[in-house]
Amino acid sequence: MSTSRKPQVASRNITVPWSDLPGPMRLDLELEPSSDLLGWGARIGSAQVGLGYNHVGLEERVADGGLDWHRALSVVEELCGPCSQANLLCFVQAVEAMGRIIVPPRAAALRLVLAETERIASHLMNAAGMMAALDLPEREASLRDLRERIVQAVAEWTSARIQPGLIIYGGLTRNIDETGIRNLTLACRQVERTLRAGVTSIINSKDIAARLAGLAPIRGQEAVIGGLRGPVARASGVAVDMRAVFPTGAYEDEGVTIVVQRNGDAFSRLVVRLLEALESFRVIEQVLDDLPPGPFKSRGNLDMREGTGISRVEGPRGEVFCWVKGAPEGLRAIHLSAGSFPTLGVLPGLLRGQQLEDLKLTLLSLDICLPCAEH
Amino acid sequence: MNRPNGGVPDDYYEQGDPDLHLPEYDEQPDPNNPYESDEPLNRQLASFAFIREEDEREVRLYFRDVAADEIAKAFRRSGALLISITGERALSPSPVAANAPSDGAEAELPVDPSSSDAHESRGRKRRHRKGPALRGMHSAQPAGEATLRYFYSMGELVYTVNITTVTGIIHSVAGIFPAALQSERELQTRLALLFREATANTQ
Repeated sequence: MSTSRKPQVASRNITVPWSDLPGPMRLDLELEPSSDLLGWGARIGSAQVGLGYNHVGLEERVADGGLDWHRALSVVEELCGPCSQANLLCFVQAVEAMGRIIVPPRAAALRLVLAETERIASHLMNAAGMMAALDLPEREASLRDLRERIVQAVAEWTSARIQPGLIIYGGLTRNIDETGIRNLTLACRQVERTLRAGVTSIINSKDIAARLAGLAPIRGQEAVIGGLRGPVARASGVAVDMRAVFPTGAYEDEGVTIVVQRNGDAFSRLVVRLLEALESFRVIEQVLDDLPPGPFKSRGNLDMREGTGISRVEGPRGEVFCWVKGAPEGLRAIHLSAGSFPTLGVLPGLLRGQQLEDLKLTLLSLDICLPCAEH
Repeated sequence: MNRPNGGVPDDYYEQGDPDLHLPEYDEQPDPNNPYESDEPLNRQLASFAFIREEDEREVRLYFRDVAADEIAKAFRRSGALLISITGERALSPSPVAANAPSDGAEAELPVDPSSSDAHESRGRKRRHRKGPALRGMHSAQPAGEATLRYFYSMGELVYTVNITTVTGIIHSVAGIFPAALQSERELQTRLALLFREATANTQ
């Protein structure tokens, strides 16, 4: 009686700890059997994403009982830290579209400044995280310092580092004076100059390119089919940016260059974010140089009307889409779709076949914002 | 390096010829009339009964008991992209559903809404946190007819397609727009809907 012995190649299942994940989520991986003797270079066979830890049930709660118009502002802004201004701007613009509310040009321009500085801070934070994962502490520290300087410059105007609560229906709660404009412009110019040199250095770094080029590639067609948005899609050659495609507010008057890369890998995504940060500085300086005079909010009391409205805004992680249904008493229904939501859908497919050691870099390059994606 | 953009290679600013753009349409629309571009779409949708409202950059279409995948195909053929999906159940439940106990095991006795005990009891119940597995169970109780909203972008316009269904059974559009799969799963849990996979060819 002959018995054939098959090689014992068992796959391993692991759960990735939170420290390696972009936020509270569960990522269960099944690893393929390692091919080399020491068990290095394990590849991911399949991945399962478990969500639900950030779910606050915004849409369900509003649909169940409605929400007061003023309370809605803070609820939407507090959904997420890094994307708070994009989410709030999108929501407010949807309400303004519903209520036919005209926004003064100065308020629209200042909203643009808030949105763009948030984009810069988000992109620099992500790039700094990438540098940390690549074990480049000096570059990481430099990027974090630049981010801190721009956040601080904006905080001098808004009096808050995050979620300043400035954007309201019909305008802003606070104006900016000439000194504030001068200080913010000066800070932007200084940070931009330093960042430009840093970006050049990162883009031309062979070490960084060697590590990130070809990592977790997403082809353009895949990005379109998967409905990917923002820098992740633009890094794959999809030239879609709501600031240019669907301009609203002050973006209707400001030309924004769409930064596009073709390779769709982690390096392309990093490059897109860094160049977009530079582009945001250009837009901010242009707006501040030519800030329209006049009121910063609509005068008088706003009478909300019954109806629905939509808005599309380009957030740091891609298009934010908002649909609202309201009545004079308050918000009746809301749907807020953030840029990271479609990325979660392609994550299991993207991780399949990746080396386990690349997991952290891959997740960082996708820049998933969980509070936005699964609110 | 003395490049005008501060050393960043010029080819990183690629505006001219990226790989992909938004879908082009066969007939170039008049830029002064954004609604002209949806003529081919209107011809495809003509076989359905619907109400159309136009509002600046948004076109709202209202359908009742139609196959969502057929509508999605019409949009796909017209070069539209799906932005997102949402939905809601009618707020007023049917009398039978309203009187039925929620899970059969714990039938709540009617309480006087004006009493403070009733308020406290409700407050405690509301503060109870549900885990991810239980999330959406409360709202998943079928209450009335469901309305699904599909948001499509086509050029500068957003089409809000409202499809109302009494049965709670909807044709899935994930075969036409794969990005819809996640949203459909979420709505299936939250609104107790059943998404039926399309069997016909998606194109």
